Amino acid sequence: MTDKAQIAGTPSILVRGIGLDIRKEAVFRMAFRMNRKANYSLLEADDHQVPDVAIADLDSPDGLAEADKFRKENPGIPLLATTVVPNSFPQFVTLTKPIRMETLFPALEQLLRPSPMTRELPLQQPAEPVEQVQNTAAAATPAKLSTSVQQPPPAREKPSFDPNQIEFFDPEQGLLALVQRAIRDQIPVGIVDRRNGRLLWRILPEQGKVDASVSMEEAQAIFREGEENLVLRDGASFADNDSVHSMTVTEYLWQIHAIAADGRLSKKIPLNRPVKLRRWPNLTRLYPLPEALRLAAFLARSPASPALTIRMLQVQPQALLNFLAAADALQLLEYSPASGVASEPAIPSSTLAEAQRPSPAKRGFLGRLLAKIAGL
Amino acid sequence: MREDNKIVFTGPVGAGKTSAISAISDVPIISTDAKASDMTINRKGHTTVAMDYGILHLGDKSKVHLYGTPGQERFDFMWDILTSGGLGLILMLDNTRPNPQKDMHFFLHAFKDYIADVPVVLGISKTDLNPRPNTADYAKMLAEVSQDLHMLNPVPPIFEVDGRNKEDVKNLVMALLFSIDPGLGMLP
Ligand SMILES: Nc1nc2c(ncn2[C@@H]2O[C@H](COP(=O)(O)OP(=O)(O)OP(=O)(O)O)[C@@H](O)[C@H]2O)c(=O)[nH]1
Ligand SMILES: [Mg+2]
Repeated sequence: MTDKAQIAGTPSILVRGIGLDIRKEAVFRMAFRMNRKANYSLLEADDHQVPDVAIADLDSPDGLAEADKFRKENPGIPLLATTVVPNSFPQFVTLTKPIRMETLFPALEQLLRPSPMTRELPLQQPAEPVEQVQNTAAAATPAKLSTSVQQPPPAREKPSFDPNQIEFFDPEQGLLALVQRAIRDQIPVGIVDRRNGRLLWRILPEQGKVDASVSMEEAQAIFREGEENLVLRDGASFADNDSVHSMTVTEYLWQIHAIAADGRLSKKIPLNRPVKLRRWPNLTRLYPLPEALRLAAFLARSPASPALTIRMLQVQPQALLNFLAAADALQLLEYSPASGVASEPAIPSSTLAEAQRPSPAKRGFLGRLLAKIAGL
Repeated sequence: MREDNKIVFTGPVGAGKTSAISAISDVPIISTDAKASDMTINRKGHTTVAMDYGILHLGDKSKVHLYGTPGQERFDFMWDILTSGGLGLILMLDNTRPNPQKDMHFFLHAFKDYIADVPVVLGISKTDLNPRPNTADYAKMLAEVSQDLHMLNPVPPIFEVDGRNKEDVKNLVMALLFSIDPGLGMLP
């Protein structure tokens, strides 16, 4: 920690632990390392240097007796007693558990300040802990933060989205419908490209798996050449030189629906009525669709229509429509107005977008973090 | 140090917390050892006695602290130190444990105040050793377990992960960030 380097030259404040078990000692050590304002150091049990301050756990088996003994033997050394029942120990300066960094260090500073120490302590005025607490509180409630953002929302570029240009596809017709039925009825089938007789997928519903001889990209190309080239056929087998890989039925449904959608909206899904994500797709084990994490987070948070989602998130319409098709195939979406989903709020979309966002500074920070993680 | 720049990894013993932090940390992770006063580099096969600590540097001198809690359930004392403020919670559950629902219940309730303010993400590990329950089952468990909780994100990401796999861990963290703000990283 570079923070630590700044105070590396300053003398340590030696801390004696009283009644701390090894794990509590370990946590105090960690907390001391994390604190950059002063160089606290917890003494080992066999280190007999005179401490500057002591911390006792009164709730541990011998904590109270040891704390009493320490005080008798070291009347000049301040002692901070930690306990869940501070009222039971009026004879001690107590810090109520749970112990937090924000209260621990100010308490230690306060104890150390008036004591007649022989050495200069590298303590500062307790201005920073206050600031720290505020930072913490603000960070903990990103959603609420935005109410205090006074600036008007920055002008947003209008996404190039024209509802009239949206194309549709029907997942309940054609190949997709046949695949769904085979899975539902547990009938093993093969999907063959009839132009060359090549077996592309063999669906084995009882085993919950699909064997494939084509990649996602190849499948996409084949679909674009015409879905009518694909037919169901049982009894077909893979060619010897095919490299066959297996996936779960769930993985298959996810990718075949995204491929079939190809930037079009499923006829089942309303463009202007709210869609909600019931639960997240298991995205680490599914073919990665562009913007899937972002779209899932958005639709899990609150229902929004596809039209509103495109406007607010400024995603490519195709990315959203493919995601919706894939998620719907796994029955993760809820969108019938009869199912109790609230209708779309009548708030202008730009206002809504801003109201749900953390402050610009926080967004900048989170954006950098996102870029960092994505690039790892 | 800005206290709010931290992500907390929690979960039962052996769920992969230490592995996950190691997979993405910019520095060799520091594990707090019970005996030694010095930082010790964590070795595989060890249980974390107190805490794990890793860092992500963001280039502009700011950084994100990655903390792992110990798996043992009785040390909630430490979690209080760890969880004042922060970006969110990553709960890792081990699919080979006898009762993952009980683990989920325990950890979500142990962090109930925290996850009222920050999002939580669930990573299910060791599905290579035991494929069931699956993520759909976990979503059902969550509905039962979280009835008395007020979660900032009541529909959290639930992903299968291998704690040793960097891509999986990256996805967990990115899902956490998008849960804070789905608009992150888009044009301003
Ligand atoms: N097979 C398998 N092993 C895993 C997976 N994730 C982690 N492991 C292994 O499981 C063991 C425990 O992982 P750790 O990262 O130490 O777990 P932890 O959560 O830090 O455990 P504690 O510190 O004891 O609470 C290690 O040997 C890892 O390599 C997984 O998804 N599958
Ligand atoms: Mg560990």
